[in-house]
Amino acid sequence: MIEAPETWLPTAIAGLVGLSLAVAVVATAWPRQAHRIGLFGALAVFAWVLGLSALFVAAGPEAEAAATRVALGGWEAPLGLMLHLDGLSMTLLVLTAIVALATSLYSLGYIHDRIERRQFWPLWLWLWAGLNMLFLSGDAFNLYITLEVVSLSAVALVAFTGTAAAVSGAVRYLLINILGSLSFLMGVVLLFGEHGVLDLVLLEARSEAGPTERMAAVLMTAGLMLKAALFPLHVWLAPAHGSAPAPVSAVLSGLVVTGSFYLLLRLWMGVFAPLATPAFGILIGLLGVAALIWGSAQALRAGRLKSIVAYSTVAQFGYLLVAFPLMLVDPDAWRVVVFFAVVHALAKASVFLAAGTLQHAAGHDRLAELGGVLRARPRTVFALGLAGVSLMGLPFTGGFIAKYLLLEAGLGTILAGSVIGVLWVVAIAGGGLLAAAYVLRMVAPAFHRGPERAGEAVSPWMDWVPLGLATVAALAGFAGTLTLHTLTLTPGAP
Amino acid sequence: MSLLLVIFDLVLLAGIIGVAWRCLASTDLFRAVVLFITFGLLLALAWVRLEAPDIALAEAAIGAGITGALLLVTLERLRSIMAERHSGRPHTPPPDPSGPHALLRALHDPPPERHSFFPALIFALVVGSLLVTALWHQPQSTGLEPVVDAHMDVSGVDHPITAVLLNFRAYDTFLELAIVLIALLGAWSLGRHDLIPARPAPGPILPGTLRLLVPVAIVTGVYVLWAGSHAPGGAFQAGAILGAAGILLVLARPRQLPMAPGIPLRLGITAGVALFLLVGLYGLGAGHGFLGYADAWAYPLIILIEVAATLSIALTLVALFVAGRPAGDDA
Repeated sequence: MIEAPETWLPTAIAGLVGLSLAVAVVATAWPRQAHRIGLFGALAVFAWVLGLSALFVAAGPEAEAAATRVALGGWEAPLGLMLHLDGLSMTLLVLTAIVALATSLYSLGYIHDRIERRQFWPLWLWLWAGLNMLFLSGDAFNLYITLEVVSLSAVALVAFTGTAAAVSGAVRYLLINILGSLSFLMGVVLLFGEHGVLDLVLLEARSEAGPTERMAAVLMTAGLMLKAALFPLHVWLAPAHGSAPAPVSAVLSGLVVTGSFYLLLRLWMGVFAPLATPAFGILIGLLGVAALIWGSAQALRAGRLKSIVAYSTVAQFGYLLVAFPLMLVDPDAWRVVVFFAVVHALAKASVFLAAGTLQHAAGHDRLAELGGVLRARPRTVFALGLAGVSLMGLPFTGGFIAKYLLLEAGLGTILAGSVIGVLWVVAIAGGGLLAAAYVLRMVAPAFHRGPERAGEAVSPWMDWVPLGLATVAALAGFAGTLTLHTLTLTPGAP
Repeated sequence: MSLLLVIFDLVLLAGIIGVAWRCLASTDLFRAVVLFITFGLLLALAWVRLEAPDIALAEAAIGAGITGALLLVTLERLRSIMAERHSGRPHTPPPDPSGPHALLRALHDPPPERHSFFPALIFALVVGSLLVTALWHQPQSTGLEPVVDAHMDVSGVDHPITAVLLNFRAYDTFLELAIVLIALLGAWSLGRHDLIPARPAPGPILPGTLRLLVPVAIVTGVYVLWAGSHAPGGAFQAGAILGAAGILLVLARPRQLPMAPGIPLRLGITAGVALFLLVGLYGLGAGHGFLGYADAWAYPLIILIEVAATLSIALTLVALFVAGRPAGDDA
């Protein structure tokens, strides 16, 4: 090795932003070739992210060392903008690359109409670029803008089939997103007014438990909870995610929602850390329990396949809220939470893709009439089941490791003398049972006796990609150690 | 003098709040839109009073002007759709759910009969008073002004706002340009554009005014763009002015719009971001950092980016006004 990986890291980080933007811009300018540009771009960005993660782990900054920060245009904070890469953002970048590549391949088969393809690819590439920039941003105002890039392209993607249901779902999604963004922006403005800087690291160094921070925390948290569809601000999610085209639903439930959650985590581990009190943690945890129960109940009642999956997102994000009080008792638990979010994103994206294949074959997604198609398409049902098993958290899947670690953290809080810890443990265990119930609801018709009906032909991409991604989700458990190690490379975090 | 200013400020504040309230409370959509435009103009005045002329310009041009035009044309389309629906043609074929009208139809869920403003009012009062409390405790902060001032000599321009927007925080500005573009892509993805029902221009006044107004708008737009390097102005404001000229031309068109050629149109709307990104990538390769310039090249590069951005913004705004993607784009 001639040069140490550290020297290449800043260029590789800025290069990732440049590459993902370039792919989106070229696809926008040349829509006729957008799907080819998209395919090669997706492969290139995927490869770049993997290379970046190898460089990052090889550079192996100590947990105490500063994260890799890149000054854009050569201007250091506070004057300029900094890109910020640490273990947390690296993990989410890799997750995004995996899910996004799978979605891109799936879309090659799913969107074959010439006109639709021209509209879909540029928007999708902008969304992906926006997510990459969101995870790399180290500046409060820049975070707002990247959030806008993500939300706006996501809204357009929900609407783009142009059916009345999709458009009204999208308009609702747009209004919610604007409300969330403005709330977030108001918090940013307050923080800037108080401290005169926008850089997150500088803000963190200057923040204390003052009235500005409290108000900013309320505004930004509410805005992000709205965007992440965290209970009780979740009501928009099911119509939007359920009516979008399958690859879009996969990305929305898998990545976009996770992006807002990432921001919440980043803010509460950084700028707002002085505000986190046990009482606040318990409040958030109770919301999580409510989300688990309510989301699962809706998933058990829903009559459409994609609605079940969408409601299960509400339920699964309840876990992430339940983890908040655990993190206050055992600060180390945050890594488990992120790992859980990663596994959920992989599994949820593959469930949505599989559901999309079934919907395409059957021409609808009404569960009661899907039996024939389910019986005739064992490969897709297997993908659905495999990803579902990961959502439930059965042994050897990624979901199992994540829930096991969460339970361990929960038991730790009980041992630490917290009575309410019992509630968290019961919620985590019970949530798994509820997940089992709605996953079984989805795949059960495949095992009934009855006629087989393959329905409309689907492209090989739509047949195989869900299975591939579900396998990745199931095997994610084996990447657990690596993920948790990468996450320790996050300075400032416990 | 200062007493007069205080009175002016109070009247302005009362006007802003009053107009906003009337706008929200109005049940007539047309009236609400007009009030919204008034609101934008008052807000622009408020920015002038806060000594932020750049924001005032942008608010007047984009917030009040272009947004107002977009709202009005949306209203016009809504009317024509409703008229089509009530035109008594027996059994017009059911609207194609994937057609270009889908968005408008979806938007037109009739509002509930009675509104209760009290929950909203109470919520606004609570949030407002909390905000005031938080602001009350804030120290008098100069923000980043001293830091920016210290770096003006290497920024390539003489106007601090432009220096921040196109040099120190160029990444943010790039993404803002991208957002305008994404909004257009979103509008285009919804369907082919359908013409606003052509209304013959009543009399010679509109074409006559246009003949005078469009050249003035172009000169003003170019001036505002040029001025951006040393005084309030810049690409967004200039783009909005040129866009407004384009919208006027669309409105006064004697007959159908000619079919816009697909490839030049796509290149036109992406020129701003594409050029910006190219310069940024060059900076990365040349060792100035992504979106960085060599000091000596900062001024020409900033002007180049601003010119391309202005053109793209103007085109994008006109395209948004026309709504729906032009037939040429599918060819």
